[in-house]
Amino acid sequence: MIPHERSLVEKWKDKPFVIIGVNSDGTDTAEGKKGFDAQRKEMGVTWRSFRNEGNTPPISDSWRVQGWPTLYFIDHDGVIRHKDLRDEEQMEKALEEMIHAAEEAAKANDKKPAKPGK
Amino acid sequence: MSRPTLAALLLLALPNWALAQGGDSPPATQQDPQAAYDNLVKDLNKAMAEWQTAAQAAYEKAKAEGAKSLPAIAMNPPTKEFIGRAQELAAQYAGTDDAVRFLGFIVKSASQERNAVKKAVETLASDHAKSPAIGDVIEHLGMAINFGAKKQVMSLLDEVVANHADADCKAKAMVTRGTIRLESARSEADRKAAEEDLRGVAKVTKDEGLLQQAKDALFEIEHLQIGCTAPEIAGVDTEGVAFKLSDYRGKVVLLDFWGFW
Repeated sequence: MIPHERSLVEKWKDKPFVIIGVNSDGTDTAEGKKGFDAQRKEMGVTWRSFRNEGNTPPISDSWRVQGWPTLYFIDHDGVIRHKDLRDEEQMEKALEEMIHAAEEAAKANDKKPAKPGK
Repeated sequence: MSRPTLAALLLLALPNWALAQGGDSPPATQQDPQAAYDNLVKDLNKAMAEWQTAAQAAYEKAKAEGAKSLPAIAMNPPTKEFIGRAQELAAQYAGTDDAVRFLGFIVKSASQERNAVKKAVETLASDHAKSPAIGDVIEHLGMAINFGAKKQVMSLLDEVVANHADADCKAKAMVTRGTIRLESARSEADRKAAEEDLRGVAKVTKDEGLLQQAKDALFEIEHLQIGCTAPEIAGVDTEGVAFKLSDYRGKVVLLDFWGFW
């Protein structure tokens, strides 16, 4: 999981693509944060994560997460396009299509005049 | 893909084992089903605590020795004996409301005893669907699904929704059935059936906990499906810096609920 994600971040570092994590490893305590930072370094996790702590972790609860890891694929407009693709090949294919769409949308935006026409 | 660690397994196991023991009930005769239940729970909790200690030690040892897989003990909590005892007690009180709690115990406490769970849910459906005691069991039925007892669970819930006299019991069964339907939904029709159950809850009960459960599940139907705009997340990162999911509009976001543990 993490090695694959690391490779995606590397592969698409110049593309409109990010991984955003939601993490409950206890980074709200000094001790938890220390362990997290050490593992993060060891595993090469460079991406940012929301802190999601407590007995009823608010983000995973409201997103109804039943198992870990859970993945959502969100496009450049903020729309959920896939849920829980696990197969690495399928994941990459889906993300490639989504990145392509994001680039096309960015191009179309550039062509528009800075100010709407008269 | 999944990374089962002993710590996670133990953590998952905990809430089930910490079964309520009925408080300080007065000393009872051997025939008293409440006392028999309390003893069963007490003995199980004790065995589970010992197992957790032993499993943790075996895990630490295996880890120190560089083992790749979990030690066998970690996957084998000592539930079999207690499931057997619960089956005997359920048989002893067969047909009465007292049997319900022993059957419920089987549903809540089993770890490998698939057939026992299936049979327990089957008996609940055929003999106890109208029992006032069934309410306490309903919330644990989701677990029975993991034991391959979905068919039995659904027929029990159908029975309770259709025929139970108590509105809150009925509502509980609707929330549970709706949630199970939602989790196993493969089509729009499946989701519609789930939605119908969940919307129906408000017509049946005023219980705030049940209404909230239904509302949370409906949120999934309304906002977390493919094609929905992702709900906003506003929080702090692991460094404590505030940010929002929508900060990344314009980019493709792989949102990953993950952890090292």
